Amino acid sequence: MKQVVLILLLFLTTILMASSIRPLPQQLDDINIAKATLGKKLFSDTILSEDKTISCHSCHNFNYGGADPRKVSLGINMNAGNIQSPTVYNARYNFKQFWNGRANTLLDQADGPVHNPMEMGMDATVIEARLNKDIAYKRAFKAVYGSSKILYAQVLDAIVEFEMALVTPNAKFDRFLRGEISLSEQEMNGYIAFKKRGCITCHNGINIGSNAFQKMGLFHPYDFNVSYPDRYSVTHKEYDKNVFKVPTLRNIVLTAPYFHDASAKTLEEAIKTMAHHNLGVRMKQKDIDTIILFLKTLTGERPSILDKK
Amino acid sequence: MKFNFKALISLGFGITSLMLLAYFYLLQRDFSSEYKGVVGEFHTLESSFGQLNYEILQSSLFAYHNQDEIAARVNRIEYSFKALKKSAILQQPQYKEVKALLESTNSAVEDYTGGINHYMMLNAGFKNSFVFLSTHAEESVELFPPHADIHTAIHHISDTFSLARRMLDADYLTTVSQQIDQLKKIDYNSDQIEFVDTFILHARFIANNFPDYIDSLNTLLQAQTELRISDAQKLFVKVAQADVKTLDQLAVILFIIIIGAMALITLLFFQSDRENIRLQRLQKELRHSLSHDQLTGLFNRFSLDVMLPKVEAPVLLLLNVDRFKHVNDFYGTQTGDAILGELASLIQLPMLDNYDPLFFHLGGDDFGIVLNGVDKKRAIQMAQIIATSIQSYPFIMDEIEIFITVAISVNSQAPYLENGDMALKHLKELHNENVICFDESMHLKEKARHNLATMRIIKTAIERNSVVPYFQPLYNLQTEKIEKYEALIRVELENGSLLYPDDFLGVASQTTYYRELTRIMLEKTLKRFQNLPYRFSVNLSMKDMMDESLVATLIKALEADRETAKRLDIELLESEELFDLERVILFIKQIKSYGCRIAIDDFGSGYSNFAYVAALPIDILKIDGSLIRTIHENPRNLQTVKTIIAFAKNLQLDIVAEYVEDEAMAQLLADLGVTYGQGYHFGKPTQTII
Repeated sequence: MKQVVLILLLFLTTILMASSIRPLPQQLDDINIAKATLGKKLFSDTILSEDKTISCHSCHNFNYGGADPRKVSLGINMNAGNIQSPTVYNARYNFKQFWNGRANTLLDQADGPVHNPMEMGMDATVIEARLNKDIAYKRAFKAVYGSSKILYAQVLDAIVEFEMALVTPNAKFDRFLRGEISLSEQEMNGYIAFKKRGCITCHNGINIGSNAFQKMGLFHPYDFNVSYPDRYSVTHKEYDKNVFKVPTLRNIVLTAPYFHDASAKTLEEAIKTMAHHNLGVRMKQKDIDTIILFLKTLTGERPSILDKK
Repeated sequence: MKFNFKALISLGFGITSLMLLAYFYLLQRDFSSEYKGVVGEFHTLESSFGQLNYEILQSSLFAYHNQDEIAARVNRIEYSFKALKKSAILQQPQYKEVKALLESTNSAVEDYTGGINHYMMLNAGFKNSFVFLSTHAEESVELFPPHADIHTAIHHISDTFSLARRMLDADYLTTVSQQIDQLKKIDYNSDQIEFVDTFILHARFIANNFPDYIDSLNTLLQAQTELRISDAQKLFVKVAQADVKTLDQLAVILFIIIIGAMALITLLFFQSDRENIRLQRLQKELRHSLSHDQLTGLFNRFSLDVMLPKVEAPVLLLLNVDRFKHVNDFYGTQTGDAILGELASLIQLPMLDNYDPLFFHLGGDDFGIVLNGVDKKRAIQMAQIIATSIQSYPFIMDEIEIFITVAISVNSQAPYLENGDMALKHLKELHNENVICFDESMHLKEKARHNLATMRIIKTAIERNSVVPYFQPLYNLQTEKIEKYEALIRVELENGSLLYPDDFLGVASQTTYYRELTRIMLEKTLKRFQNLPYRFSVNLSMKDMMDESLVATLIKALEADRETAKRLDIELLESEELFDLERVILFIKQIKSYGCRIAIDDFGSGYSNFAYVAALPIDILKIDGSLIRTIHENPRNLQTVKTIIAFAKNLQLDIVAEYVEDEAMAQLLADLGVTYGQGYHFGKPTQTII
């Protein structure tokens, strides 16, 4: 018996020693502020949607952690979307974009909703025509790109530059990782439970997630609904059914509801669902509570670009 | 033209090679940047595969592992692979194989990245199950009595998994399923059931997925994708080397073309330079030949005219070879020319050097030496030395000694050449001398010679009956008709040219031929006008009237044809000498008795004496041409003419104006009251009468 305990303790040591989460950078040195500011304007401008009702911000709301509090977002003509809108914050650190990772870059991502007939329903020439009629935009683009005619590629470029600046640094946990502060006992217990219970297996890296795909219902099967675009819709491999990108846990308390289907309205529900389907355990209430406390330390500062004039 | 063509060709050559150079530069720049890009992507792929293998192994070993690096590497591989396939260089036909190879690798790469995603998924579940085994197994110690069989079973299952995982070998798990099933057969209380169920769930998960997990791990670690990409890389490098070789060859060709263009341009440059030098030399030669004599290299006649005025106190030594025509005829012109050439250097005696000597070949056998500031005596001395040294010098031509003599004139008075020539002519007559100095007396001798020649001409003319009258019309300005002709003497020479009175009358008047000339003129003119309705005139001088013999000849002629004589006018030329007025009046009266009228010629020139003229019983006054000619420009002359006209009118004389050359002049004279006009405006002197 002693041997068993020894082996298991060895395992534990391995778990605790591994530091697999990295803090966000406190300063970004790769942002062209003028361009990002122009991107910010475009991001919030409904001019980019066909009936001028929807902007990027409509579904990536800065008051809700860069995500959408609704179950699904609504596009033009009140079209309901087919998946819960993920956060735009720290999206630059996502290994792929969209729930099913069909876009490799932010640029590819930004192009998507603009053309999606359910979302903004626009094409490049209409956007160019509209923006080129707007004197304020013409002046702003000229200042940034030096060209007198606004091109669609420039529009995307500016939006992407803005999204690159949407980083939420200095979360309590990041500061803990940097050794600046210590977590409360409860929070620390939460972090250890997070690791011990295996959450960290998938939620690791700088974005605490968003660096791999995972099957929803690895241990206990999860309802499969073809209406949600999963990884299978990209690869058409059987084992990719119900597979989605592991979402980031940064700012998680701000971005309810949870999961691709918005099925969890609270963190507690979400943790329970995850524990059952993907960890194959029943999480103790004590662990759930402390993990929630830990997750609350992952909320970072509002991106500074939002408050720049 | 030829040069332009060459220049055009070399320009074309130059431009072409420059364009080729630019083309080559762009070509190799594009190639090298694209080549570097492709090689870079290959390299990235290669290192990404290596790094990925390492990361994958790490993630399989560590329970918790940061997967960012793996995600980044996978993205990098996808990006690089796409970039490679799209790279411009691989679209070229020669890289078709490389591209095809990459294309065929496409699904392998997709399988590989998909495989990683799948592996990561399994790996996560696996780790969770192991987490359960390690964290929850402790609970069994509390849940079950110390010596329950379940401890052994859990221990055994955990041990088996642990071994299988360390060995990465699914074979260890062959019996584990039975062991798991055994667990279910035991009865548990409610707390125990939950634990056992969870344990079984995870144990099953591990047992069921382990083979797949090991497979997928091994597949990733042994993936041939990397090999196939490195094959593509090797093929690419091989094809690229052929391209590099082509570029090298192109560079060599380009180098040759540029060298060729440079050589051509250099050649043209040298050629044009040589041409330039040749032209300069030609120009120099031309300038030299303009001022120099070709045969001797001395200055020529033209140079003498230019240089002589610049010499301060010139003395001209004119040298002529005696009987050179004879030398030429005897030995041939070639020998003659050779002698002249040698003579040219012979005359350049060093003793002349003090007097800035200039040597000229003036043409034929004439040489000139101009000395500055030498006195006449010394000049003569030196001329004699020159002459002596020449006549004692044997010119050896074809082994034959030829001796020549020269005549030299020394002259320091302008006109140099004419005076020198005259002196030489005198010298030639002297025979025994070879040097002479010009002096003024030679002019007199020259004049005498001229007079003699003129006399000879006149004599011959009389003998050949070639003394002829020419007739010039006199136009009546009032009646506007030709009414008279003036007979003018001419001598027709054998060569057809005419001799005018100025050329011979002066000389003739000194001789007995003069009387003869007057007689011929009178006879011929009278005879000519015998049957013509015009009056006519002949010229006599005052002096002629003193010549009794001449007067007798005149009377005789008048007597011979009295009818015609009535129409004759005698034009008397005033003379400087004063004559016996009585005798002149007597003569005039005598002549007038034949019906002749008397005119005073050239009145108003020189020494016109109004009183003298007024005293004579004359009929006509001819105003001198020199006055009439300038009447327009010179108001004084107009005044003089007006005075003469007034004077003539007072004496009731007819007035003739000579030298009338245009209508304006004729009109003016008519207005002034002049009776007759004579001049080119009305007619030149001709042999015929209209």
